[in-house]
Amino acid sequence: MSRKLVIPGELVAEGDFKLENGVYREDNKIYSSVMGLLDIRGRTIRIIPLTGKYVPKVGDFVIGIISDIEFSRWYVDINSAHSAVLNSSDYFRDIDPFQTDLSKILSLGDTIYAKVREITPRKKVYITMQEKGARIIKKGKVIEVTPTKVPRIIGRKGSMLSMIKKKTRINILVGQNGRIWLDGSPEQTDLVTKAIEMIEREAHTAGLTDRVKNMIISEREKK
Amino acid sequence: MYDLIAEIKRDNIIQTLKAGKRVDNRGFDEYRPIAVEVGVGEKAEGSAIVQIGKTRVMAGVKLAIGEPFPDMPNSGVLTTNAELRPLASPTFEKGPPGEDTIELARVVDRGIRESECIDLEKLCRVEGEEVWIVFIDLHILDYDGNLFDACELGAISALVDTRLPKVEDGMIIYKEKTDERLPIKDLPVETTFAKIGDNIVVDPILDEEQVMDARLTVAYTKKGDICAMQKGGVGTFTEKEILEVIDRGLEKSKELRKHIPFKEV
Repeated sequence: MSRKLVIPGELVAEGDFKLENGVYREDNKIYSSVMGLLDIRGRTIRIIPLTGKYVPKVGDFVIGIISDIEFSRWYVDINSAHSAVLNSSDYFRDIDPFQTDLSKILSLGDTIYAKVREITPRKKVYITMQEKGARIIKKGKVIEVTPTKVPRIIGRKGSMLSMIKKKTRINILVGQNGRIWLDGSPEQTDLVTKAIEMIEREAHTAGLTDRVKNMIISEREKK
Repeated sequence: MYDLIAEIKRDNIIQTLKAGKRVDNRGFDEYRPIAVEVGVGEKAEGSAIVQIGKTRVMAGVKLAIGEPFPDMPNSGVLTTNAELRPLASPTFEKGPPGEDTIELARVVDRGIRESECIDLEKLCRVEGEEVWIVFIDLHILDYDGNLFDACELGAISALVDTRLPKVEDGMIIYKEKTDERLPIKDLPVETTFAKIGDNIVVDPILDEEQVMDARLTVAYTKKGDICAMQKGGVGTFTEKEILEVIDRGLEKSKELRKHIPFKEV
């Protein structure tokens, strides 16, 4: 399946289509609004953008950094235009802010893995840690990729991610906001960083999982 | 600028340096790949885009005719201005220039002025009345650390690229460029070192700049003389460390100078 690369303002189709991401209609003509790959399935059109900022979605797991602390909530930088709020009641256990100093629990610069709970119509983002899998990240390394490439790093039904995990025996957490946490020996971390850079660079090509696999195997044999 | 950095990122950078490596697998004395392109702005008399890794800077030179300063009646005028474009980084805001912008412009200006790389006296047209004014404008397009070196390299490359416009009856015709170039005598370059913990590394990336204790920028002339210095950050350098930075920077400056597209005449 080859997809066509389109640029903003390019005419992509004419007629009656259902529009999804990255397209707009003018009269009966449909134009692209982003640079990306055109994807037409039946009567629906969308464009998979090549680059872009993270737009929060309810249910996404994100890796955030505590950027501000108030009396009963934390502000969390989630690599997006909208900064997220973590209420003290959304922490693992319910905290009484009258009894506890929140900065003793999570201080500025701490990294967390949390889930987007709610987005208000005014784009205020609430995240929660009362969710299976949510955690505080204390060690390891966080790398950043373009958020639009995250689905490719996970792979279809997690195929890419489970392959990397199996081949390198390293802990990986992928945040939908383009932050990826790696925890393992320095050599393995470097190798996975390299693999992720490769996926990011070649995300739009086919047969990527096998090539990444071969790259990891050949890199390991070199050592 | 932006001072929030994840604690684990800070730990990672410091631990990697302790192990004798850097987060992007460079050597302590290794620059990121550098690319210089001149003649990028049609409307400027001289221009250049410099790329050091992901940091990208555009420099432009405009010329105007004006009055000299009363205390230097036979000398041209040089002004440098920098602008941190909001598109370069989420932490840059538009509006009046801040501390970082002014520091950047002044450090670049100092390197160029104190090396006397432009023979300003040759820019005098009528003594005390009419001289060339050289405007150097620096625009930051992408910010990934080490703006000083990129801007200095961009400024000097744009100066080298500059061709004087045609002048008729005291009026400049900007559309017509002559083949006359600026009187360039020297090619100053700056090298910046960051001190992180006990380690001193050249060309810090943004992450390293966020965790560094202090930085030291040294500008060198072609002969290897120091023509400007600037120290930043809250940390300190010992005397021994400063001398070490100067020696290491001198070697690097020779490397950087090769990127300036200057042909000896």
